Amino acid sequence: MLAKAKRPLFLAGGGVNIAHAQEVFREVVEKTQVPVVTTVMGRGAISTKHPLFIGNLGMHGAYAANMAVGECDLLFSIGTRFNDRITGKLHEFAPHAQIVHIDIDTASISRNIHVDIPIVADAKEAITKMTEYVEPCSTSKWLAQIDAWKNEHPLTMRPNGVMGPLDIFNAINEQFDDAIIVTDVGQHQMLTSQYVDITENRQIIMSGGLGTMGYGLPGAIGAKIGNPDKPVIAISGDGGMQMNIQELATAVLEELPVILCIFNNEYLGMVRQWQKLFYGKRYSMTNLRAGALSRRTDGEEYPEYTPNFIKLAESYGAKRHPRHEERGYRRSV
Amino acid sequence: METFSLNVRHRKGVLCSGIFYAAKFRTGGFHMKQITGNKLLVKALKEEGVEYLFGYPGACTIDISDELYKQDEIKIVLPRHEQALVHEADAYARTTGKVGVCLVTSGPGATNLVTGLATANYDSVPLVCFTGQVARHLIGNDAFQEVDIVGITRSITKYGVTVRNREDLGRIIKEAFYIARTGKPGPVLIDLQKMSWQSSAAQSIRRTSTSAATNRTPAYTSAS
Repeated sequence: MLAKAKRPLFLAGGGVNIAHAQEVFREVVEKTQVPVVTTVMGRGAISTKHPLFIGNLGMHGAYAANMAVGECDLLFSIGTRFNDRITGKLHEFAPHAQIVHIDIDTASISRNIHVDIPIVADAKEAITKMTEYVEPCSTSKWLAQIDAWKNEHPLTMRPNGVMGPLDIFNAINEQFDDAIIVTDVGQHQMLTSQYVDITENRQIIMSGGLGTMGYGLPGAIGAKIGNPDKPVIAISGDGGMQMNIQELATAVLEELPVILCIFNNEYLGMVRQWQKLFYGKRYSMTNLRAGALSRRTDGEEYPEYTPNFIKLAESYGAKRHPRHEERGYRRSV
Repeated sequence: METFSLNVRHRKGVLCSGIFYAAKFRTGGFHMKQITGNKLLVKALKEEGVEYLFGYPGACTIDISDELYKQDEIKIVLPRHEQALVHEADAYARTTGKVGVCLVTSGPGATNLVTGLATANYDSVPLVCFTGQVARHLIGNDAFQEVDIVGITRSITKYGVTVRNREDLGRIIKEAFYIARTGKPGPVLIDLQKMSWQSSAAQSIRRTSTSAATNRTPAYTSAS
């Protein structure tokens, strides 16, 4: 089928990572020359620097990745349950494509999206089997089209003169060859999943399915306990951070050197973004500086942001490196 | 075989307390080494290759904490909240490929796990979580720190089970690790009724077989 398709596309979900199938998957991708989109949980299934990697798909995905899903004629998906965040409107998802779906969970097959060819198997076993008989596909025209989409709307942020998230992501991308990136849930999570490169030696973990705020700091602690020799970087927002902030004590007392970046925009930004786009900019319950109803908007000054993360970290005995007055970038112990 | 008949009788609903059970067992003429449930639990964790246990203490698990204190093979991590605890075990499992192990007490300790269990379930993370539970004669009494945690977490765990009898403990632990890590990985919850790990019995986990796990699940998933 891959050989017959004119515009084939691999969709890699978290199952590829869970099955530790990244290496064989890359082999198959390189041999077939079929481009790849990933889900948020599938990020890292193939190095994000790989030329055949397009980007994440779905609500928070890249333009080219979503265009590719819309236009492909064969969607070869592995280890994903077609969560609503990637499919959007079901009848508009991959409308021209035949869908192949490899999944270990029988219950995931044709649950959200009707698939044409279901295969129930462990991702690694299935992909390893594929390596035996896949042939190179003639995809040069299709790849050129994807490149055109990439150039049309590249993933970027407008520079505004002050330090922004991109600077932190660039620093992470440049400074760490191998690292485990842990995120919380919110805008910073989606930014991280878009901008931080996940190469062979790196791993990104987050609460993808449930979207649990408060995962970031404990997640980093657990990752560091299991991987004492690897740098662990937690990226959290000011909202999620405050949901499990007591774990600073655990990190300090267990002597776990994790790097913790708090993206403090003083808002519950993900919800605020929806309010901005869909609710007439009525920012109800999302202003962490003013409180639930944002009462003090009529000429009055907001109270000072609480807490002061830097001082708080100090009181727990963590070290801190203030990079910007609104962003803490610190290293505990 | 006296033990066998006792087992069968119990499953048919004839009540016999854990202590009575153990006493019967001791006089039954067996010469196997007796071992308490909490000793067996620690032994079982070691045999599963557990290096780290994420735990928060409480009344219903204090004997297990005491048993863990006497050894240093399994390292204990003490977070400050059970939600963070289960996230830590979750991230440990995601980044090492091993099973994350949690130990919390009954009631609020158990309910604080809920968000973390759902998180792990959605993202297919292998966890084995032990929760304390009040003694059998208190079940259903709204006893201090009693909740039906297996019932509460049924839809957000891969498998949940209450251990009522000391004799079942070894097999259930073995099955729990097997279920957590195979197929689509996921969290498993083991609810330990107080009697089940305080009393002694001869059965060790070596006598159980993992292959039993797949066809045995329904009989042990009931909550109370």
